Amino acid sequence: MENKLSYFGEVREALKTLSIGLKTTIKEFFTSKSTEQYPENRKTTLHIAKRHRGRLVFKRDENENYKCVACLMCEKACPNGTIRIMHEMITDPETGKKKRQLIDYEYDLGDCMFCELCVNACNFDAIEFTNDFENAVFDRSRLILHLDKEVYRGGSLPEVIEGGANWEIGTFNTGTKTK
Amino acid sequence: MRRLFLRNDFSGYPLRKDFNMDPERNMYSTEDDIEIDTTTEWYLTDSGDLKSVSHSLFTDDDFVVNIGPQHPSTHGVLRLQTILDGETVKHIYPHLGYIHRGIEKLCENFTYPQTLALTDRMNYLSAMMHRHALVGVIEEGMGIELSDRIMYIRTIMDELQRIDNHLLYTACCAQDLGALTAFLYGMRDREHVLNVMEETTGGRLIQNYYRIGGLQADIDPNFVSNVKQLCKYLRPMVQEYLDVFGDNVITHKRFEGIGTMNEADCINYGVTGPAGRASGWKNDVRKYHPYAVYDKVDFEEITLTHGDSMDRYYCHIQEIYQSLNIIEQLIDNIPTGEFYLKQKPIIKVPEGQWYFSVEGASGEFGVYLDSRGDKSAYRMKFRPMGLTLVGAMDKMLRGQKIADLVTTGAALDFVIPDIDR
Repeated sequence: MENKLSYFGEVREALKTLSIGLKTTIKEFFTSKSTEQYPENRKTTLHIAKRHRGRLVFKRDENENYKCVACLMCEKACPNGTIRIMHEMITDPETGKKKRQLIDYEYDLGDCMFCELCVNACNFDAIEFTNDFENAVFDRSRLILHLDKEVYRGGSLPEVIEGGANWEIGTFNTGTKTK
Repeated sequence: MRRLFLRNDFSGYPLRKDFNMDPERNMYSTEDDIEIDTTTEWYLTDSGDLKSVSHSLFTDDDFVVNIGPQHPSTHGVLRLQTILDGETVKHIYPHLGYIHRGIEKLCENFTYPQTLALTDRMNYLSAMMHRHALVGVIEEGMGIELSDRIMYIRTIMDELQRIDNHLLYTACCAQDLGALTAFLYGMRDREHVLNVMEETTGGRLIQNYYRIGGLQADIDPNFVSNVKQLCKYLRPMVQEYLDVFGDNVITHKRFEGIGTMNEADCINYGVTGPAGRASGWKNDVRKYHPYAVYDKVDFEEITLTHGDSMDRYYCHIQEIYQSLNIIEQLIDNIPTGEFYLKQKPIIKVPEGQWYFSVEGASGEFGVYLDSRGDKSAYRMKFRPMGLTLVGAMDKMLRGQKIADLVTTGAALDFVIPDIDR
């Protein structure tokens, strides 16, 4: 930038930019806050995107049956070896056909990098990610989950599974009370 | 020649195919990594013999200061070994590899869909663009024709990601110069960009949205209205960053004439992206090698003339406006169609070599793929955006003051996981 101002002209310009900055901060001082009160708003104004990848769960129908057939596609797709599936072959007594039976679906949340490749690999629409994000535990061994043994009902925040409170671009849900 | 990423006592060349990958032979050493102060130059004699000569990195009476690896203003674990003469920088030796994960080597053992999980973790501020490059090179190799809808959404997502990066960049510039207020303004508005993306992709930093043959999921029902609202919200806000920080006299005094690099040197050092465009080098991949629907949208390539830190800052600011322009042109016209074209369960790329580059947020990001027809790549090479920027820091800062090292680093916009891969 060519500087053609006199010494005092330069000082005047400098003071002008500084006062514009101060004016902006004063203006921002009176606009609404932008801090969301997380632990307090858990059950009221918290919004978590429905597609947020918090943890893996089995999809279950109304009778709480899962669709997994232990085809091992997800285990093979996982880059980290997060999923370990135990299965056995059982013979159907009526038809005599051999069929795979799931014994244990072990999912290590501590190893998972939430890349959704297992969901993409599944041909039976048996697994999905939910937005249950409160996964902190005191012991690493508790992160190893057995998806076929548990019936997932929304974790610690069942009301947020569908996204939780409404929210609008350009605003923050700063309050802790539902309107 | 020095080792860039691996330890000095590492033996062998891991990317060579005859490298023994036996875990027993490649145990990680817990011994101290003894740093060598010499660098080796190799040359051929007239008779064709390969000879080496050792050079010292510094002399005995040089004053050497390590900046990093845990210095907050290096934006990660980067160590700049700086030789000083009083306050003046004589030479900078960047030491990299503190978070080297060997992503390129990992890619050789992963199947193609599995490699996608890694690119988001390189420059996490350009996660979308990185994935676009990798997905693009694989799709080019397989000859997949994408639907218009996929390409439109990819372009919009790339630009949202660019805004996200540039907001963080302008915020961190302020932070590195000590202006915490401007930093918080930038981070506040970045939150809205992330919210828009999270509704569709499910991720804030690690997006995981593109996949071979399309997208992970269709855009969410509110995406179009959210993006429109975001554009409306963001436009006046950019002026606010300028008011509070960018046009400020203190910023001008700290940024002007600092870390200057002229156009010829930018080309020599491969300083792409806004840092290179600030010196007048027209290098926008979106303009000169259009991918997705960049050839259909009307936007300006920002080039400035001074090539100093101030122009780099202004280049980022003006690119935010250009990104908003691109998004506004596309958002109303997203065509209907498939968001994902079904691929075979096992993806194989035919034999051949391909290179696909995209305009990342801070430079050109390219992926080179050498396929031998398998389900995993024979060689996958990433061209990181930050490596050349860090390489050029020595040239930019020689003869300048040590306090300007932080400013130049802030204005260059590099992210360490991207450099280290």
